Amino acid sequence: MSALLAFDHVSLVIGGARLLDQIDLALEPGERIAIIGESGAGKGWLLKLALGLVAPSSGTVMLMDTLLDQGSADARRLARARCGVAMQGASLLGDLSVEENMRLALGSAGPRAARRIDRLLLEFALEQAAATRADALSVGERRRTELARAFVRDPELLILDEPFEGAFARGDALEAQVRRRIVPQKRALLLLTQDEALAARLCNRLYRLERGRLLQQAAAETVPAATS
Amino acid sequence: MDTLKGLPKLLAAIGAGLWLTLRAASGMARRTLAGDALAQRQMAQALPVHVWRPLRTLLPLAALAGAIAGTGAARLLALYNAQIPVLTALAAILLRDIAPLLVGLFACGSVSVALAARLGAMALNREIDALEALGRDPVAHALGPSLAAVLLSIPIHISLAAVAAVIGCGVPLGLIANVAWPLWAGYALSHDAAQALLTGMGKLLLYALIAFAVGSAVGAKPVRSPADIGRRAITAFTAGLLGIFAAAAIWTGLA
Repeated sequence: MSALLAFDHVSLVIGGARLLDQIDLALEPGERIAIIGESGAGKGWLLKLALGLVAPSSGTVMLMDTLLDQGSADARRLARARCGVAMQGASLLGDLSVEENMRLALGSAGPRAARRIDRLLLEFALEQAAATRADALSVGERRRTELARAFVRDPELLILDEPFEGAFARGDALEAQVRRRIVPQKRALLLLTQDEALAARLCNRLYRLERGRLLQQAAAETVPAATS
Repeated sequence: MDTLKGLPKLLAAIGAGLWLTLRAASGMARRTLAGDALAQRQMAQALPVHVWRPLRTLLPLAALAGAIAGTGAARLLALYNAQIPVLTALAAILLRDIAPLLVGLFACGSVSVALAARLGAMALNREIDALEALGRDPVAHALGPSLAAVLLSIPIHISLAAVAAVIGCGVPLGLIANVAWPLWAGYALSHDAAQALLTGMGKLLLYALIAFAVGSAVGAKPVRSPADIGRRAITAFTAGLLGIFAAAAIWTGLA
């Protein structure tokens, strides 16, 4: 079985600083991997490398059987379109409504698309905000919209960067919702977080990103009763 | 020597502007042909920004520019009473050179600055990254609707600006040189004046594309802080001014 996402000896040097050093990682279908790291450890760069938004200084990144630094821009976009991504911070298009942001991600119109979007809005408690412009949403609503958008295309692979940051009171419900959409459906997950407990709850392989190196650690080291 | 050192940078910026404009045009065409409802909605948002809102300033500006040109011509007529050559030349220069340059400069102020600021804000809010992460072409989404609106604005802006300039010009002609409105209208609506207006429209197309290319090329540069957005907007405005005046000078020289 080929990996959905594979880093092969990937290093990233920016402004003379080695941010990532010889990263090797393969994410197979159905696998859930967490990368735990402090703020500034380079998780954001890892996400950008995984999506081909930046090119590695050395090594190769393969997403959905597409070599990201060699494929054309269209090939890279096709590979990305098969992933669900929630980036840290604002990544919604501010001048579009919640529903339009979802439609943009889905890339198709029609009654089936509308039903799918409606269902996701309902599941993520966004039905009241469907027509609200993204730049008028609260932090929690923005986060929920980003998560709902990540699932809109029924992706094989989810890449979530601090997915519940800013969700506050609804955090547990949101985590349960995300888990329901990932675990039973055997979707692959790459979770980038500082929260070790969350990583252990959601993922079955944990890595720690320290000084640009990826170190594997057992789930049991963080939370004994890690569930899948 | 310093100018020569900056030449590769300038050529790279011109290339980037042209490439972004072509990609925006092809991307928007693809979206429109595919019946993308979001593209129609974005167009509906871009139309007031690039077509209707500028008219509030553009029309008085054109009328004032017409009044200035009309005053000069009226003084000339009071001295020499050479109505046919003066009024023919006035109508031609007003419609072929003054109105397009005025609208072009206004486009530079609104289109290039608005684009540079918008792209900068989108980059800072990670909206460009988000579009890429969704597998969408950011150029088609961020620039396509604006380009379509700018192109649509050209015949509307030049026609209305020409009417305002002709009216503005007619007032001093009537007051100072005693030129009656029907006489001035005869010159302003003549076959030659219509040809001059068509040439003016061609010039404006070039100016608007220059403003668009400059705004998109400057806006596509990396932005690290909100202050960078303001700096980019100023750069876009000054570079756009230079580009439009250079194009106007070359066109006039070659014509």
